Amino acid sequence: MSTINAAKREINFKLVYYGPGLSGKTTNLKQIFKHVPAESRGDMVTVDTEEERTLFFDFLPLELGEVGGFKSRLHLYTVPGQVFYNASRRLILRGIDGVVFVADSSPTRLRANAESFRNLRENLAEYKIALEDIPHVIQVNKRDLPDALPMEMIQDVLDPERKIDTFQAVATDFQGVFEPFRAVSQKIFNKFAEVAV
Amino acid sequence: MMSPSILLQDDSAEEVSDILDDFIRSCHLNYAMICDNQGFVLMFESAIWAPEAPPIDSLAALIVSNYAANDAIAKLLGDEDFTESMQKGATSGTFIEKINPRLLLVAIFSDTTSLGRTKMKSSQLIAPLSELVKESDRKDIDITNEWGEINTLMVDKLFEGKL
Repeated sequence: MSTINAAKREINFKLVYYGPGLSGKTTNLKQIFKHVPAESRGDMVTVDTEEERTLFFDFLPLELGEVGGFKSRLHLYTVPGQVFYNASRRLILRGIDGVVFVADSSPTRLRANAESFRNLRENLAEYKIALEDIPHVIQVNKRDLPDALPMEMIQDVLDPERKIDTFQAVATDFQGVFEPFRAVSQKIFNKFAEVAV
Repeated sequence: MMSPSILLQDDSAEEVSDILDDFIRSCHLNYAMICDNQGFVLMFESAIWAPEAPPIDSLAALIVSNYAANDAIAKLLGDEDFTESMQKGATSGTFIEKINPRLLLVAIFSDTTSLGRTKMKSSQLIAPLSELVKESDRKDIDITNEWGEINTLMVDKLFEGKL
């Protein structure tokens, strides 16, 4: 649910990167932080463990610019991927406007992808939201792994009907980081305009 | 379909700002802010004696997430919520009061702040603030058909020369 601050002339959107542990959610945010001009972003906040695994969330605020007298702003979050942090994941989803699901190409992570995707649906349901009701895309990360699973196999598990826009990525090299971010942002803006016009 | 909500209108912003300024002055706070439960800052005010403000968006995201986590802990323990939320260090701290289910009033204090007064004053501010800052269906924003397209172009511009 976007927040409009008429006094500050701002429209704020919340975008969440979701997915199994170590799939590359934090890497996506780090790459966006690295590639966006400093004047368009705030500090990146990371709440992690000593082993640099996300404990609560990562956070990156972005400012796009002004349209029609209002500045559009995006707040990017990641969730902790590890199974036992579900309560934290659910909290981060509150007020979500869009989601990028980051899947892992490793053969050993196919089940984790499926479980995390199901977990996303379950946690959204806690807020009475169906995944289909919010803008969402899939990013299949780590395509550079020598034993990366075929795209078809991952899509068969996550999106057998091929309804969801899906992107291949090597997030550590910034490959395929921009495209899903752009796609989900576009969906968020179009949906907002649809409701507000 | 979820609809956007307008929380702080132009006409009430000045009044809200005055209330926060008075809150800061009377309790000798460093900063006071109102944020929503998504971590978006609606209003932030700073004392003239306060050091340079930390990154406000980051501060709000952490405070709101921490508050939400505490709320979840209360529920796990069988309580509706914790009525008081305070963090205190050697020279600074935060005190949070719920305005309504969607909004929080946050006081950021120093070692010269009267905590008793801060708690009393913040509880007095809940009623007037909840009247001034609330959800609304008012749609007085000029969103054209091209609005989404222009915003997407601005996303492209963020990464100009980097692709």
